[in-house]
Amino acid sequence: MATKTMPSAILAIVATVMILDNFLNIPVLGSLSSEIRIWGVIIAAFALGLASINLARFHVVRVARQTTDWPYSVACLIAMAAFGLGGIAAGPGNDYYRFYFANFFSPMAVATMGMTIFFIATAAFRAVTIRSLEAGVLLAAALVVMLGNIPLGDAISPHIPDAAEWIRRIPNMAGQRGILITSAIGSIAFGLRVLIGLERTQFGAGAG
Amino acid sequence: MSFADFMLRVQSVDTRIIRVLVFLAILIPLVNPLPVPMVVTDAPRTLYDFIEQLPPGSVMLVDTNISAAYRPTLYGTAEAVFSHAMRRGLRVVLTSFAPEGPMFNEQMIESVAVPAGKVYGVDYVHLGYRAGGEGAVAEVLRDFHGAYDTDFHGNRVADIPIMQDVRTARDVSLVVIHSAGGYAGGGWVRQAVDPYGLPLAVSVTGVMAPSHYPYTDAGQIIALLSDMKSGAEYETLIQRPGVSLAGMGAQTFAHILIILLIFLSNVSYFANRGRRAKK
Repeated sequence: MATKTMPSAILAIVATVMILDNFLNIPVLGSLSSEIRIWGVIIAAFALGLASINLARFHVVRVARQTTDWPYSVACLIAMAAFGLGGIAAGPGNDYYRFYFANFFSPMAVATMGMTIFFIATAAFRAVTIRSLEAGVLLAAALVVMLGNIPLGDAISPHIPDAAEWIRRIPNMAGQRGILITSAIGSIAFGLRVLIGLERTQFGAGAG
Repeated sequence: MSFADFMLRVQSVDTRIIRVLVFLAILIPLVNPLPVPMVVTDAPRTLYDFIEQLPPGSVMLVDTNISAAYRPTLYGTAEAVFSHAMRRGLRVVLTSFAPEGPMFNEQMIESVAVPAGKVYGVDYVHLGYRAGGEGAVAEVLRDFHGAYDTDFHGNRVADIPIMQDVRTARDVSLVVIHSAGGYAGGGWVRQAVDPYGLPLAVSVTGVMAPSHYPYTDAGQIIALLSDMKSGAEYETLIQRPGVSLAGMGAQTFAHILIILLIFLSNVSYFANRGRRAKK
């Protein structure tokens, strides 16, 4: 019981300080909330280190047991060591680190992301057909926005970029506002539940 | 062969042919660049005008939250805006709240500030990465010197000339963020615009842009730039062709190809609809 009550109490105190600081101009609260944020930054930095150790441990186990595709784990461990140790030893601004980032990591990341265009093109050809009125409206909007996003749209008609902007600014924004406002209300409700101790799912699945 | 039969064959074309077409549509404009006429839209123009009216010496805070995967989409805008700020004599504080961001800040410095003869620590500074997301943003804006003991290169922040005048968000005249994910514009609105009233310009990926429109309409974001196109427009404005303008040819051809594929797919679908109904 104490394992749940103590974190709940800490959470409630921290949340109360942060909320009050947002609405009241009291120096003590300002200092307290600043201190809490600094703790948050330290915890986040610590979490990054912890995640690296966890990832390394996961892949070491895979290599040791020689599970499916274990050579990829070897590649991952080598990359982690090369990047991590280089950065720790000489700082992230050193030439070796920059070379590694610019010539290995960056091109590979861009290439992986670039591969999606092939799947998008294939999916557009195979699946994007007007099978209903709703699909037709969706497709028309998508085509206008796509054309509005390239100079050709303006070359065909100056109204196309305007129409694309209208879609983004009116129907899109109406939907986005709805999502934004409802999620904000949901966050407030969730925050209140956490604050008064009704919500305990953040301590793990089924925490009661 | 009837039209319907032909379209049926088109519909069942080998996927590899589509992929080769996509490959060529991207490769040819990259190898053989085509001049793409750019029409400058409101968002880049607004940011450009805002930077133009800032007095030289004003402080521009930049959050480079770009991941390597989105470099082609966002880096061009980041470099163009940084170049404009340097040209205007603004003092720029580069930060990042994403681990990969500092590398792009360094690339911007090497390609813009160093050739322009700008002095590190006087005209610009690179503070580096801070973990903690939105909480870290709030803390940096409250107290730059408390949040950063040293800059990216290990120099004491207290000893850097530009930082003598930059202590809190109150010393900043403009915030520009380049974001490929995370809290993005919403987080900066909460931490920089609402509490301090800072002007905020946001550059995000095309997928992220729609969720930022409510902030622009509310006046919380002064300019919303999205995708490579905004970068190309900004490069056009400052008359400094860069990676975005170079990539617009490939993006244009890829979009045209996808539009054609969708068109073909639908013609084929409707041409064979009657046949499917009979079956």
